[in-house]
Amino acid sequence: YRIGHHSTSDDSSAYRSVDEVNYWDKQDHPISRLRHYLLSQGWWDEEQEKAWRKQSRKKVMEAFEQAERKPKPNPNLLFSDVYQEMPSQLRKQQESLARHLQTYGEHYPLEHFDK
Amino acid sequence: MAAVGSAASWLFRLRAAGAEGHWRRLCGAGLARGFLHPAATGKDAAQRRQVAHFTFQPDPEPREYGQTQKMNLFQSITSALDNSLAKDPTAVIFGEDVAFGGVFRCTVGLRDKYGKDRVFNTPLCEQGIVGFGIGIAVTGATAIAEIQFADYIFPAFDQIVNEAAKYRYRSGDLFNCGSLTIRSPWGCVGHGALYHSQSPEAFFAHCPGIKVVIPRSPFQAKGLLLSCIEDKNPCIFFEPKILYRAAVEQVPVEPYNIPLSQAEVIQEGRDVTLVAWGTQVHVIREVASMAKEKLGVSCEIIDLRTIIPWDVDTVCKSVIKTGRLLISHEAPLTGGFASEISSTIQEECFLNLEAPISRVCGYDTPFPHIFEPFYIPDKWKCYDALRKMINY
Repeated sequence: YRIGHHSTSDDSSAYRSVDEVNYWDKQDHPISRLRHYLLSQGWWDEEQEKAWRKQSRKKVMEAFEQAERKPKPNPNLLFSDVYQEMPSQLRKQQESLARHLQTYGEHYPLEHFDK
Repeated sequence: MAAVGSAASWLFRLRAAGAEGHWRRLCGAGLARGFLHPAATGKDAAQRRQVAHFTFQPDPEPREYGQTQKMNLFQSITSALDNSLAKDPTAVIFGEDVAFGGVFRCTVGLRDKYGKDRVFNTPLCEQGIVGFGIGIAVTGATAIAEIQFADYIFPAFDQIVNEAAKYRYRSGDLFNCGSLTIRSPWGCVGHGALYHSQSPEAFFAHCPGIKVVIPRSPFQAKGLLLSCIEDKNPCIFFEPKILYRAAVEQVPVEPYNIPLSQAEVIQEGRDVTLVAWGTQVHVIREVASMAKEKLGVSCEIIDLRTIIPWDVDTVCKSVIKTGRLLISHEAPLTGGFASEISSTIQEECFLNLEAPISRVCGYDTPFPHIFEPFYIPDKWKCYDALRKMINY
């Protein structure tokens, strides 16, 4: 079951009830059911749960942060991988963008992209 | 250094604003955000909330159609659909997610007003949406189909090209599906990437039997959409999605028609003719100002409005006067509709031309994601091409 919205542009309460979502989230969530099973078997406890959540969150946030710091690829790569080999017409377009950016580069967000 | 600094400030904002909220948003359980204004979080927001590549220029309030109301593009579409369903009892609207109001809110309120028999969802099947629409239209009822993004129209391509476009011709006018209109969000939106940004008008330009129409504004959209719905031929109406909320102007509340296959000269000029459609009209408007200011050049601006059948006479008349033509569209250069215009104009107006016809278009690549600012034919590229043409 899809708990989240379809995308960040979606508000799914427009086409499904919040109660339905809550049911799956609170009562019938497969991951929660597994956790309860592990707890009941004595293979897991609340302490470990807390620690694991904290560690995971930290890992994700660090990875996110690291990725955000990286610049985006060089705009030249706009033209790559259309075909296995670059047709000459496309190479000319690539060159024309490079020339364009030499003159008009200040109007583009080049600081976020790889040099 | 700046990157580290802003990452730190982002983290600070994260803690301050409530890491829980941000974390939940990352987990996909967040609040709704408009597709047209992507979720903004910290540094991400600074990078993403780039200034739009155009400025919407509203037209002056129309006087000849009665009372007007301030509407954005999606509201003007809703108004046209509302008018249609009110006066044509056979009209129905269908497509993916149209019942709750549509992913861009174009059909909000219509199901409540007209009932579930007239505004309804279809399965996730574009081929079926159009095929079904053709069937309705052949019975004589008015079919208004929605394809959720123009990028998804291709599964319906066979239905459009081989069935809808040829229905009248192959039956010697015994039958037709003229009361079919297909509406679809079209064009770049800042973050749409490969499959939410396409402008496929050129594929359909190559298909006699259908009409393809693209408005630049709410007032144009309502009048043109009503004309498409009432036109006795199957029509495709592409709606520039980036304008759905960004374009606001006074629009008549009552129905009115803007004729198809008539281009509009929205600004007269002497030195260069600029031709575009949809969002790009606003880009070239700005280019015309830049040309006036920096080069002392007077531009004539034409909004083509109907892609096929297109208004050759208006463009010719303009080029005969100015001697220079620049055409611009987001769709890729090769085989784009500018190539048709260019070819016809050089045939008709060869001796009037002072310079080769210029086309400023998207590159011959799929529509990129993060490289969008470099891909689109923005005002700087158009300005540069215009400058070169003047100095030819």
